[in-house]
Amino acid sequence: MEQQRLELLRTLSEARGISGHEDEVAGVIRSRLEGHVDRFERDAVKNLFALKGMDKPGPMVMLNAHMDEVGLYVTRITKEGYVHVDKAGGIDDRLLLGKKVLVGRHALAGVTAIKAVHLATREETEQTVVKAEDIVVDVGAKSEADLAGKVAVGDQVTFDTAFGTFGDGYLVGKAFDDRAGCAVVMELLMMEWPFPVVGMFSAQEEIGTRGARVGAWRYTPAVSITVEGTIAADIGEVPEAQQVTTLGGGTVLTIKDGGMITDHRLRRQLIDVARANGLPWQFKRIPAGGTDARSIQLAGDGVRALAVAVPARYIHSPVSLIRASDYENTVALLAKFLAQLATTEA
Amino acid sequence: MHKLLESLTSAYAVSGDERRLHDLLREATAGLVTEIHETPLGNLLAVRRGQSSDHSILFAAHLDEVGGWVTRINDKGFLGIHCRSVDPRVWPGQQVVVHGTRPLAGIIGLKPVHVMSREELERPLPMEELWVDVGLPRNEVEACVPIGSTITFAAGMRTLLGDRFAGKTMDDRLCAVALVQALELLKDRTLPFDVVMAFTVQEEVTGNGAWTTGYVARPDAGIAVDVTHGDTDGVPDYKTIPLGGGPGLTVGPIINDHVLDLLRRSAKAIEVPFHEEPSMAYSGTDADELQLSAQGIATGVLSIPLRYMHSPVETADQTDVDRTARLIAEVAVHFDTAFLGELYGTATA
Repeated sequence: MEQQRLELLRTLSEARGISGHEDEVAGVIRSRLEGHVDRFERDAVKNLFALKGMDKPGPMVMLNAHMDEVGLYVTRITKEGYVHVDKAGGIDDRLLLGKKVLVGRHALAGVTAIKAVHLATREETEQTVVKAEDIVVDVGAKSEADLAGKVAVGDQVTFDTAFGTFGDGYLVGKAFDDRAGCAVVMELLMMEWPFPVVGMFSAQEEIGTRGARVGAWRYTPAVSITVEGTIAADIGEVPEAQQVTTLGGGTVLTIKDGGMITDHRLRRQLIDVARANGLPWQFKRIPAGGTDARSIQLAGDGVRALAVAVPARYIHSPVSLIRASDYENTVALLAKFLAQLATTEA
Repeated sequence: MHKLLESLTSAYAVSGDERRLHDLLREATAGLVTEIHETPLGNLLAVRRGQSSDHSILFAAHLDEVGGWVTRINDKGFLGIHCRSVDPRVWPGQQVVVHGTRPLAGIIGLKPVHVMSREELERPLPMEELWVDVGLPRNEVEACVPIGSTITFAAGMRTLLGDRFAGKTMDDRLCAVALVQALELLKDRTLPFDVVMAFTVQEEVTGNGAWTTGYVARPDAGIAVDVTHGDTDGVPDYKTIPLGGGPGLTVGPIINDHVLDLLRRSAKAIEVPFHEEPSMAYSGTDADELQLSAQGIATGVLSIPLRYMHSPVETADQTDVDRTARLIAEVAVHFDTAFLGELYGTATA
């Protein structure tokens, strides 16, 4: 993968932003898109809009990805100086022990505590799942006073995971759900289109696709494409029926998920473009979960919406994995698709 | 914080691989010791000669770290692992390094909750259900990861508030650093007898490193320098000692009274606070084997408090390391004829 793309993905992956704390991510997106779009807007729920060619004729196309990541947030600070946390978004509790994290606005380095194995009973190590609400983060404070002015209840706690290349053609990092989608949308916004394009970088997707609910009313497009980093379970001993998507299998297309059925005609058109250009694609093979596409579909009179994704292993965990080729092919496929849309939808 | 700490804890050496650290330690002790020996098992003995070499005191810190071993490769090229020394609940979501014919970055992930039953979510995963993803096709994995390759937590030390830090393998590289710091403190001081800083092997699995170290070095007194449990949220105070509160001194049958007394006296002399930790059977350190090595060695255990032991985020306080190093230096200087009189006078009485 070329250096510029790697740097874009690195900056996005390492930016910190759980739901409601999307400011740093919005800042990264703005600074990278400056000069490529006409103007930016932010709304009351922190959605970021990057607007391009709004005075052009033709149907308004929305390109959407969400800025927020799953993580933790501060619920309480103890007098001993430990920071109690809970989950912001859906995370398997079993992924949270003994992890490196960054706490609060000053990004203090911290770790999630795990009782020494010597002090744990067999029942604990073999049968007890420690719930997020019972986990403390240790930032090295000796008392509550050590944290005054540094950490406050409600602060975000994000996973401290560096971005990098991995194995043969993979990329490792946190928050590929949905910073991979943000990067795809940003690359598309750097290209020129003959129709108005609204880049909607939404807030609060991970706690119920909330940002898009209002964002799609501010700008209600004719066609919308939501780009996600979606689950791939092609791992370990997971049977094929549960794998959902496969890394290296190309762009993931949703037919139906827990909240919507995507637009049949647009999806078929997208598949035709993929076939014509020899670009790999795969269906999402489980009709569960939900994305901002549903919120967008329900705006105004209703929107013809698509949900596509870069497949990612281990999303909603401290560290996730994508395949560089899936990312590159997704950008290429959507660019070809938008170019064709300019002729069919005009 | 000592500059050696980051390089030592960033290096990888599961029990059996300790020679990987030898160059770092040879470099760190250069100019501080008179000679350095390697034993057949891979213990490294750094000797600072005293005015007389008729007697010696030995301090032992083990070099090996907890980790796993590759037991199998599945059809997707994922690795199965054996590991007994780590709480299996720590592994999911962890970045690891697989030490095959070349080091490979790995991830131990879980399948997504969307395809997980509620029952599964409420049960910790046993080791045999965890798989390491190295992002390579099966044939390549088979070519570069022989069965038996070791697996460690990925390095990456973090500096916390105050004098605290977190990372993998503070157990027991932190104590190896304390031994080097003690040698630095002793640089211009006269020693009555020899001081042996032993960097031992295989403490986490057998204690065979300490056993053979004792035989090779034949010290009069041997003090295991290891970590102990620091105060931890949710653990009763009586099972731990406070982080930042000074080292622990083990009290119990494997501890020689005179060695313990020397440790206590020395700590008081230099105003190092300490906490006594009773242990009525084994100490769980190199001292257990040192005591019975050769014809018997008078042993002590000096411990640095550590939180979250055997995890990738072991957390310690530099002030405890500094105090431990000062105490080691003080003990080394007071390991003298008077002490030997106490030690052997009582024994032959």
